[in-house]
Amino acid sequence: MRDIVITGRGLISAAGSNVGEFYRALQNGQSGLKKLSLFNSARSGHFPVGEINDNLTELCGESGLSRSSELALIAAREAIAEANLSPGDLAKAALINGACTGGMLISEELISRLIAGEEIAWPAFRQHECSVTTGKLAAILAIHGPISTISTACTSGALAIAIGADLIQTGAAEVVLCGGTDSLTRLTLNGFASLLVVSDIGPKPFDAHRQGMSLAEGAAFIVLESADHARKRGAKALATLAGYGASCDAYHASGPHPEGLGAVSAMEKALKMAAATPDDIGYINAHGTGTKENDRMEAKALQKVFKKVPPFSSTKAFYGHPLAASGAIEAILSTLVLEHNFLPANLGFKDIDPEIALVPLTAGIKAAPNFVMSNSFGFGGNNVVLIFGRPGKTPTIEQVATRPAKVAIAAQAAIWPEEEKSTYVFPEWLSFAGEKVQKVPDAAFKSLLPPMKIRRLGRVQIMALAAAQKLIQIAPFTDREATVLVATGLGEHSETAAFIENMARNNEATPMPAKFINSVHNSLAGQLAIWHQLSGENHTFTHNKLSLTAALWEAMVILGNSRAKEALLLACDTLSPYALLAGRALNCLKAPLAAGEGAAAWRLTAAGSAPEASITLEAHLEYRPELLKNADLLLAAGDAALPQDLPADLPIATWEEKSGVFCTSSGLGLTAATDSLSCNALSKKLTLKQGSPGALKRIILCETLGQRRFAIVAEHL
Amino acid sequence: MDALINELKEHIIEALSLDEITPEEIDAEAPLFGTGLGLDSIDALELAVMVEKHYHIRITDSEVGNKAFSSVKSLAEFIQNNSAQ
Repeated sequence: MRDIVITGRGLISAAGSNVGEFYRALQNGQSGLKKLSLFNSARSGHFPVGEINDNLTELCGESGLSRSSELALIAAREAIAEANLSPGDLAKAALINGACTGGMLISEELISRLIAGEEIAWPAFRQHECSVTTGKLAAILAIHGPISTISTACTSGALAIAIGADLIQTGAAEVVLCGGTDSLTRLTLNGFASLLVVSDIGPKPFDAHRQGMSLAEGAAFIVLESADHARKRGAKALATLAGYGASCDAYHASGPHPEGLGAVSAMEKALKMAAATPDDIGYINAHGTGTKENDRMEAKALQKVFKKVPPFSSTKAFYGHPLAASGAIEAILSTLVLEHNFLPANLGFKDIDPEIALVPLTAGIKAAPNFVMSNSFGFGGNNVVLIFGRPGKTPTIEQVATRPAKVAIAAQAAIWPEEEKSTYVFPEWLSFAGEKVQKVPDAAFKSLLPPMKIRRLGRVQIMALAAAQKLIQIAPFTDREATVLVATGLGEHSETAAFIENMARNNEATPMPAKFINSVHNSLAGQLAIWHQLSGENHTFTHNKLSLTAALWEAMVILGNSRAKEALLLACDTLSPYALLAGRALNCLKAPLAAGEGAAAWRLTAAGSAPEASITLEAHLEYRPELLKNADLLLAAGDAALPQDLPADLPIATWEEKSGVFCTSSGLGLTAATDSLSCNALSKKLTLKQGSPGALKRIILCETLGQRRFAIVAEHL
Repeated sequence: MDALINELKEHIIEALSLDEITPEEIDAEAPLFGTGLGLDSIDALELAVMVEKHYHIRITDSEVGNKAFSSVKSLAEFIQNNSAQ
């Protein structure tokens, strides 16, 4: 049982470039929204945005970073300074970053130039992935503990904080730097506009005449710390993280459940974990984007959870909707409420909407709540609710396992690519040719699903759904509250590229709404939830080649703490021109290995809960040589550096000669490992590199990215 | 009107990737959403983009869109009524 406290905060937003400025804007009722000037866009001038006008490169003191990374670094540095963390504390700290757009702003410009016929050196795309920001932060700040990247649309920043709390609860870290970042991009401006949810006049949350949201950018990070650790080093606890709850609507790819059922579930879970009653909540920071659907749904949800809805406001008219940063900015706002006993106004509200029949705070007021709730909702029906408490006034989080528990495999399914290498056909205008790849034939996955239901989906979503379909043919899910945990390195890369190419060709005149909805990394997890009606926690880990272990680790925490009885764990990435060219540029594709694609899916339960399950999995966010004790086989990606000082007689194999190279190929590797355990013989999908395995009872699979190495232990009972 | 209806059916099939459906199979008076073709709110957004692209009419209110998209015939009427004379 551990208390978690917040000891540091940092943010940058349109309503202030640091926490002090931000608080003054809240006090003064001063909105930071204005017309777009950051880049040329056909959408410029039509509506206000939450743009940051500081010289970010100067402020962050580093060159060569994407705008998202610059924002993140500025916020992270402020948080570390307030927490007064020593280099030693930082070295052991964990880092969880929530992000959606990554280096999109750079990629948009590069794609425009490519389409115009310019030659582009491919390393220019290196900033693209969200995980690059996380890696850069860790490198610059010298953070050597576990790291991961969460991408669950507008809940990313809040979920990063919840995962950070899981790391502390389970003792995987004492200090976690967690939060979110997103920059303005043409993709998000045009995408949200195509969904008809952007307001010409700025957000008027909960007002009868609200038209929509104002898109924004920003970053916020907090230092979460175990109360023991903070006390020992004499750090001031600014607030406690009293509880959190996550759920999925399992209803619609982008819109919320009209009755707010998922939001209700997340709020109730958070209250339960905080051991609080609705009456204990003294202020709610609403998600309140100002769209018709969100605000109507959120008001209904509030009225379902609270007999008398406490004082609440949406503060998005101050800084707009900065997507992945939103939940993290509002976490900091919640701590400011507790620190200053000041509840900020819901700017933009004037007229009561009869459908809502609630009045938010029309002006800032003095009040001293003991608990503050902060709501975040996003695409894919993703809901995350955080509850913050006054230090010393709030009880300990309940439902705590000291260590994440092992999980058992109830069923497993895999979609492998063809072993034979074929030549990838690039779009003509990319003028590349000759790349050999291992492709999954369309018949091997698309045919498993009804064509009408997948017509608007991208390749990654369809392959993921096909893997899940194979899984439920073995054993359907019995728990509606099952959690969905997805690992994907690149997400719906092709859909994103198609959206950007179309913007560049048509001068942003005819955006593609379905492709925009697909472009978020959690579109797979959202679709899986909808198809199989799974409304439990819904998380997407996207940290390049370290995604699967992190998703499995979270499955262990959720199942081990009875937050769900079943988990759908799924790893998937697919081929796309950009993925291939990036792989080539980054020198990941060295012969005899070729680029590949595929999906792996598991139905997991807590170990011991299903006696018939004979194989267990255990994730480790840091590889340790002790894991090799009694190991019968070590598995590593084809090109990965192996751990040093391995026992000379330890057999070593790889899966990538059969799966091809891709970010989550380790998923297929893990299915080959568990098949080997089931048959007590090396799977044909594995290629032996050294040694000769005897009996197979314990297999260690390593995921490696640069200097970081995670490990999964698969054991036959 | 019939020519516009036939043209719209082709555009709808293309915009919504209804590869399995031929224009003849779409009943101009049947509801496009819910029953009938069984389209959803994301299809409605795609249709709004399609209408702007081909007929230069901008739909910015989802309620206006929902009314216009109730059937192919109602969409044809909406386009006729809103086209520049």
